[in-house]
Amino acid sequence: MRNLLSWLDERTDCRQWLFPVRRRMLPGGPRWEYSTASCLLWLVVVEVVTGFLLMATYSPSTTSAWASVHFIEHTPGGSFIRGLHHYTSHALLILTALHLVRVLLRASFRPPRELIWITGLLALPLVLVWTVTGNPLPATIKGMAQIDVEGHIIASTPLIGPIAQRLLIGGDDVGHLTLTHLYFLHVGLLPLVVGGLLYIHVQQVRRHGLTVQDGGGAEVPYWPDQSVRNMTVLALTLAVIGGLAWYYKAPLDAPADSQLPHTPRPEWYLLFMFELRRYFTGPWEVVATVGIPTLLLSLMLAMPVLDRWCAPRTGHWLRVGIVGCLLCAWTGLTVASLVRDHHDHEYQATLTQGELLAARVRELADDGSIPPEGAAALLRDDPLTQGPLLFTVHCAACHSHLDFRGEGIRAKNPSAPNLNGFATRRWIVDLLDPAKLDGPQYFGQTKLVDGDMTSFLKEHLTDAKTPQQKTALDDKFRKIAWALSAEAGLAAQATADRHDAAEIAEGRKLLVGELGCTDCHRFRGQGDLGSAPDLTDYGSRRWLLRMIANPLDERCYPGELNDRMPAFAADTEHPDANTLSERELGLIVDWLRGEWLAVQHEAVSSTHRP
Amino acid sequence: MNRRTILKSLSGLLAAGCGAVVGIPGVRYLIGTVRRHGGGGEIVQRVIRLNELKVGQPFRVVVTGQRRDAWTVYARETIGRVWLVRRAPDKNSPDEGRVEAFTAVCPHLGCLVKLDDGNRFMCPCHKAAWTFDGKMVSDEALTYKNVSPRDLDSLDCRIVKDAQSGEAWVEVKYRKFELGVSQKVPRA
Repeated sequence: MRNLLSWLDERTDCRQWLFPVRRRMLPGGPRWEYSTASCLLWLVVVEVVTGFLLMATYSPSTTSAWASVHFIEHTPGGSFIRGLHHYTSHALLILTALHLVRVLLRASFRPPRELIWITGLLALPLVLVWTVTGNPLPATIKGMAQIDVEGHIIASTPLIGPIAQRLLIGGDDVGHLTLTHLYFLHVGLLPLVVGGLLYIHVQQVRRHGLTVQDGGGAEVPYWPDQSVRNMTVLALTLAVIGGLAWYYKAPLDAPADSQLPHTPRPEWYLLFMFELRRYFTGPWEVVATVGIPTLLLSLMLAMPVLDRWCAPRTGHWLRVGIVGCLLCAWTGLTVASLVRDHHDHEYQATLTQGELLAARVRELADDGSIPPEGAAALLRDDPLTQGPLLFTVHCAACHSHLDFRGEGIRAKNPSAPNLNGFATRRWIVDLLDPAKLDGPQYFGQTKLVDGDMTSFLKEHLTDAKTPQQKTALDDKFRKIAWALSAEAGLAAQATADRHDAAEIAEGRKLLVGELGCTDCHRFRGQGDLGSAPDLTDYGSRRWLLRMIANPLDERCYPGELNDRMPAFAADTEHPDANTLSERELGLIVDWLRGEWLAVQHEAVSSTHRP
Repeated sequence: MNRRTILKSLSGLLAAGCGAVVGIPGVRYLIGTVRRHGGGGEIVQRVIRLNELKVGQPFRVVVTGQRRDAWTVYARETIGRVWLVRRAPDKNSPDEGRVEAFTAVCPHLGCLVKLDDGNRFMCPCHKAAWTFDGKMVSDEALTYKNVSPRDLDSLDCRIVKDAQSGEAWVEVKYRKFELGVSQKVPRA
């Protein structure tokens, strides 16, 4: 081993560059504050190592990016590696800020250390861009919305803006090329440029040594006196990062889909820019996006010159002043933005919605099948996700969808039945209650309010004189309700329907016999069409599809029977002319019937049982 | 042990701890990639009507099914190709004869086995050849070395009657096998 090392050393001088700290002396003694530099360098190493590991799986395209990241989350160790990568980027920025403040206060930019100062300052915005190019890589709603906005901010820069934006986005809109371009920047160009700057930075520190403060102790060797401090700080930092990665994991929002709304916000460290733009609108916006950052960077770069002009005391207060102003400005703007968002209920609602979507898509993807169209298709074809969106747009002008607590979608102008729990036993039992049938939850605000159905039910109710007769009649109506509800074939009620088969059969007999429903309705071959909706398959998928596609269908509410319900897909020959496509229709119907991929179907049914 | 030695060991320990935080999950992650398997398992499928097969004349059919490629699931794709050889009726199978099935994957390096001009199966990659019984053709008969490590992999295959139409169908139990070994080992 020793021989091999000597052999190698003779040819490469490797001992010198493998153990450079060994011979390094530290005048003035070790200090904790020096460790920001070493810790930063090691965090960059952590980013590079975890980044390399992630590269082994990640696939940049709008159809595969989210899926590959979700795949990483399910690879052993993958979730933790990604968590480390994510939280280390935050730690890197915080430490960079600390490091900058430290060297500024210590005036480490004085000759001959100007190059250390300049390379460090140039690396700062690049590191920021490095993290910003990483955030959208999983192609989440949030990430893609962020890069979209960031592209537009870049575009507002005079002269080079529009070209730079197109280079970044890879065209007019975010898409496949945005991801490959960001990936190229994130793992190719930026590491090279930042690496180059850091190389000069570190090489210059080696050459000129650390800036020694007055009042230090005697000269000591760097290793291990300073190294032990560096390693302690690094270990503590990594412990915090590791804890965050372990307990909270890196976030994974829902996959980007132009159909899903999102209100983008930058990451916390860039919120100040977001807030700053509020005060510079219109043509002045460029002051906030380009002007102020450039001015700040220029001021910092000019520090060595400014420092020479000032008296030592003035210089000291100038530096303290700059640090104080920057910290106050950053904190003030960030807090202002956070407070504003905290009181913005609409924004908070989109956050909640975003979390629900993310949880739902992970549930669907965990089930193990992401289609070739990508993870966004999971949500596009999910009734639970699309149902409420489509319902709100197309149905909620008149229909509400509110549960017994009054939660859900409230109609703009409630004037048609509340469709929550449509065709369940509870829903039909109430439908057959004359007090409720013409109430606001059912047909109370339609022209059916004093139709034949209401008078029919009321007549029956007045016929029942004694309490015994009343109970018997209620029991009959309950059986009819159960029989009708069974026609829907709801998956959530399957067990109950099987269990109560005898009573359901009785209900069917009552329907066509004693209670004479088939005088107006058609049911399983009995009665005629035209005077009332067909009760065969009532509430089933087929029945609902037909009803929404065209309520005037002879088996639904033909002619005068229909109040105001529009036909959403009446034209079978020209499907493009319809308001709703067959797919959308199916999504609404499946959602109304409570049929989507879910873990607990039966739990829902038990709450619906009367 | 002096102070300096303690500091050195402490630095080393802390550095090792930091390395482990990244290294251990990193190695687990890489091993996870190596250990991941796909394409295992069996799929039983009706592939062709029996009366479309001529006795003694091999016929290639496809097996379709769900295919998983890392995170993507393709609902219906060609996942395998199978050579079917119908045998003449004999005393064990008097009515329709029986059908033998061989996977069309060459056991050498996985190329797609074809039919040569004569009466052999042949792999186009290294000219490995088998008879219609799936047996390796000898080096002498070939006049060169047959590179196949084993006979063609036979698959379980039976004739089933369709419940409705009463037609006879060929049903194959498709699966994949390890390549390059002399034993027929189902792939995990």
